[in-house]
Amino acid sequence: MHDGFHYALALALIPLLPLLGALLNGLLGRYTNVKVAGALATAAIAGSFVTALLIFLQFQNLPADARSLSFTYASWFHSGSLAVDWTLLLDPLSLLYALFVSGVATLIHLYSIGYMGQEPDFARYFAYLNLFCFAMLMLVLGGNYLVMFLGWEGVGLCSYLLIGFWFQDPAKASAGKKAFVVNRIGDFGFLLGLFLLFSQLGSLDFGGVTEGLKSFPVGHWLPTAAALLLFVGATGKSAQIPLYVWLPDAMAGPTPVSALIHAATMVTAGLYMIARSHVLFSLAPAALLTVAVVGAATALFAATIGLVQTDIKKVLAYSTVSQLGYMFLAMGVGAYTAGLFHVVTHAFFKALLFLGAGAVIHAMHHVYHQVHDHHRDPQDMRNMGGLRRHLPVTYWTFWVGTVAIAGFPPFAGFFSKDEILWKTFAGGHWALWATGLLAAGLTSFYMFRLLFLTFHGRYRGPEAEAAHFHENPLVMTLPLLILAGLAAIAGFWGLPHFLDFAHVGNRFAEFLAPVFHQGSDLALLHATAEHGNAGLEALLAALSIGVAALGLLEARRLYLGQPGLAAARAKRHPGLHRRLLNKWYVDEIYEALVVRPIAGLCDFCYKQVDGLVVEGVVNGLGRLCERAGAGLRPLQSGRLPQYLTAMALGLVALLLVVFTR
Amino acid sequence: MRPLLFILLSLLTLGGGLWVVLRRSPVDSVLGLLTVMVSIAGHYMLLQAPFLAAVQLIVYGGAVIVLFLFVIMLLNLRKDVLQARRLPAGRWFYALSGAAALLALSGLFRAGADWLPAAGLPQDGTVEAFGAELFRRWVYPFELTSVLLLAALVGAVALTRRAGEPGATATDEEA
Amino acid sequence: MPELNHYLLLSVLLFGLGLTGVLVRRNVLIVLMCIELMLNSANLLLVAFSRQGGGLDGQAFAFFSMTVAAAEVALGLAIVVLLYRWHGSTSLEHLRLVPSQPEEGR
Repeated sequence: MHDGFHYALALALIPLLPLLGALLNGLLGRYTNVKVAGALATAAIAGSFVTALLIFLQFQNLPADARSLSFTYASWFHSGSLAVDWTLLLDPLSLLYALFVSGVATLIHLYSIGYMGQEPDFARYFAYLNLFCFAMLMLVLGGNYLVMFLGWEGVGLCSYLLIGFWFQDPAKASAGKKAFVVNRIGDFGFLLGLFLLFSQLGSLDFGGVTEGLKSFPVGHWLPTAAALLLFVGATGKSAQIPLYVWLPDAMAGPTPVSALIHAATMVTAGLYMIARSHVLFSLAPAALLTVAVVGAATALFAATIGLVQTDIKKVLAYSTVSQLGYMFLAMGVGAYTAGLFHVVTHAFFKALLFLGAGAVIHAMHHVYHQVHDHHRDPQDMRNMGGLRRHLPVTYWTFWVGTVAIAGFPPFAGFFSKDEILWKTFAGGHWALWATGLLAAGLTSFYMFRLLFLTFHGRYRGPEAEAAHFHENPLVMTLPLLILAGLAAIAGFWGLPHFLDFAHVGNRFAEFLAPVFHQGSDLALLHATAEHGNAGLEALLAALSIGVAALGLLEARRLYLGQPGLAAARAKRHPGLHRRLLNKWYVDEIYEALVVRPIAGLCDFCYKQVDGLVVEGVVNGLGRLCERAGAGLRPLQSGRLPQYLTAMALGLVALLLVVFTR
Repeated sequence: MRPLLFILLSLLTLGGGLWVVLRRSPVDSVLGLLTVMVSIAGHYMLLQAPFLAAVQLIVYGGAVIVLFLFVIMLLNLRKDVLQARRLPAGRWFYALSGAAALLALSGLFRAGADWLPAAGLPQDGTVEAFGAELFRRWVYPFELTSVLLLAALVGAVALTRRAGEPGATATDEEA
Repeated sequence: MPELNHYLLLSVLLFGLGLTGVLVRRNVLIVLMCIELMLNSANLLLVAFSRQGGGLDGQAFAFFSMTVAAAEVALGLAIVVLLYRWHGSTSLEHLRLVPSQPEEGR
C-alpha cells in the first residue's frame, strides 16, 4: 500500500458505509425513533465523507501524474469474452465527486432529521436516502462502465422510491413512475452506447476504452455514435431536453430529497459520465456540439418556464434544469473543468436553496396546522410574503443562495457561470454564448422574484397567522448555514485568470488537470484562454454581472414596487404567459405523441395478443383436456356389457401379442 | 372307437354351447348347459380322468345346474315358463333324447375304462391316485378351498338377507 | 386318436361360444351360464394337457377350478336375486357399476 495508507479499504468504505446504514435502517429502523434512525443514517454518510477527506489528504502526497489508482476487489461476472470485475477508481475526478456528494449528503441527512421529524415512515426514508448515497458513490467511484451503470440505475431506482415516498397519494406515486420511466428511456440509450463500445473496443474498463480509442481518428462514426448514445442517457439522468420532464414532477417528493437528488447529486451524474468519457467525446466533435446546443437550449428554455411558476419548488426545479444546461454547454465546448466547477458550486447553492425552501414550507405547514387549515398550499408563493422577519436565518441563507445563483461576485455562482460563458465565447460559439447570457439574465430575474415574493413585502395570509411563525430548529438551520458559507467562498477555489491578482492560479482546474490532460480540445482551449485577452474576459464578466443586475432590478420593480405590475404585464401577453405557465405544453405534447400511441399498443397487446392468443392457447389447452375427458368418460359408463366387451377385446389383443412373438 | 366317441361328445358339447347362447328362455339355456356339462364329463373319461368326470357330474351337473334352475324358477316365473309350453310334444322329445344320451354315456364309461393310458403316462386319474395327490401335494389349497366355500356360503346368505337396501349393488365383487 | 390339437380346437370353440354369449346376451343368468361355459372349456384344456404328459397337475388345477366355480356361481346367483329384487328384472342394463351418470366431476 502507498505510505501505509490502505487506499483500497478506505475507498471501499465510502460506498459501503451508507449501504450498511441502509440495511440497518431498512431492517431495524422502524423499531427505533426518527432521531436514532436519522442519526444512524447521518453517521453513515458522514463516515463516507470523513473517509473521502482522509483519502484526499493522503492524495496530496502523491505526485500529480500518479494520481490515478484503480482497485479490483472481486470478479463480478464472466460471460464469453466479457469479464467484469468489481473495480473502483480513485483519481481527482472521482475523489472530487465523492467529496462533495458525501459532504452535501451529510448536511441533508442532518436536515432531514428535523424536516421529517413527524413522519411515521422515517425508517424507510432514511434507508432509501442511504441507499441512494451508496448508488451514487458507486457511480462515481466505479472503475468500469458497468459498475458506473450499476450506480446509474441504482440512483434512478432510489429516485423513484424517494419521489414516490408518499405513495399513498396517487399523484405522487405517478410522479415517481414518470421519473423512472423517462430515466429508463435515457438508460436505454446509455446501454446501447455501452454495447457499441464493447462490441467495437472489446472492453468496458475506462482504461481499456481509452486505449482502444487511441486508434480512431477524430470524427469517426464510432465515437460519435457512442458519445451521442451515452449523451441520451445523460439527458435522462440530468434532465435536459428532451427528457427533463420528470424533474419538475419530482418535486412531489420530500424537499430534502429534491435537494439531494435533484439538485446536487443524481442530476450531475450525466456530467460525471461525460467528464469520465471525455476521451470518447473529444473524438466526436459533432457529439460535443450537440451537447453544447442542447445544454444552451435547455438553459434558456427552462429559465423561461421558471419566470411565472407560483410553486416555490417548481421554480427551483426549472432553475435546476436550466443550470444543468449550463454545465452541459460547458462540456460541449470542451471546458470540462469549468463545467465541473459549476457542478460543485451549483450543488452548494442549489441544495441551500432547496433546503431553504423546505424550511419555508415546513414553517408554513406548521402555521397551517396550528390554524387547522388543510386546504391552502404551503408551497404556493402567493400565500407567502414577509417571511424574512419571521424566519431570519432561513432568509439570510436563502439570500446568499439567490445571489450566488444569479451570478453576482464574490459568491460562487459568479465564478463558475462566468467561466463557462467565457470559455464558450472564447471557443467561438457566439450564438451559444448569447443564449447563455440571456438565460443568466432570466435566472437572476426569476430567482429574485422568488426571494421577493416569499420573504419580502407583507405576509399575504391572515394577520393573526403570522404570529405562529418561528424559525426552524438547529438541525435544519445548521446545514443552511454551512451551505451558505460554502456558496459564498467556494468560488475562490477556481479563480479566473483576470482576477488572479495573487497569482494563486485556478486551484480547481489544477486539481483536475491530470484527468483531462489527454483531451486535445481542452489543451487547445486552455491555450486560448490563458494566453487570450484578460481584458476581454473582464469585459464579458462585466456583461454577465450587468445582465444579472438587470434581472434583479426588473424583479424588484415588479414585485417590490407597485402591486399589480406583474399581473398587468401578464395581461398584456396572455398567450405567452399561458404557454410559459403551462411549461410550453411539453408534457401534453409528449402525452399525445408518445404516451397515447404506446398505451394504445399496450392495450392492443393486452386485448389481442394476451387476450386472444395467449389466453386462447392456455384456455384452449384446458378446454382440450376437458373435452378429452368428456370424450373418454363414456368408457366408464358403469354398464356391464360394455365392460365385458372391453375385457374380451383386451383378451384378444393380449392373445395376439402373446402368440405373435 | 375313440375318435368316434370324441366326435360325438364334441358335437354334444358344441351343440349344447350353442343352445345356451342362442336360446331365448333361460330354462332352455340351462338344459343346454346341462348337456355341455355331461358331455365334458364324457371327455374327461376319454382323457383318463374318471375322478374328475365324477366330480364334474356331481358339482356342475348336480349342484350348479340345479342352482341355476332354482333361481330361474324363483325369478322368471312369468313368461319363460309359458314359452316352454309352446311345444307340448317337445317334452317327451327331450325326455327320450335325454334317456338315450344317458344310455350312450353309460356305455362310454365302460368303454373308456378299457382303454389303458398310452405308453408313457406316469399316473392315471383314478380316485386313489388323485386322492393321494390331493392330500399330499395339494393339501393346503384343498383346505383353503373349504374356507372359500364357507365364505361363499356366508356371503350368499348375507347378501340375500339384506333385502331391498338401495346402493348395496354388485360393486362388491367380480365373479 | 384324438390328439391334443383336437382338444385345443374344441376348447377354443367352446370358449368362443361362451365369450360371445357373455358379450351378446342381456340376461344376467344366461351371462353367468356362458361364463360357466368358458370355465369348462378351460378345464377341458387343462385336463387334455395333463393327459399329454403333465402328470396330475392339470387335473388338480381343474379340480380347484371347479370348486371355485361352484362358489362363484353361488354368490353370483345371490347377486342376481338381489338385482331382481331391486329392479324387477334380470337385465344387465340395470347392473350399473358406477352410481350416477353423467354429472360433472363425480
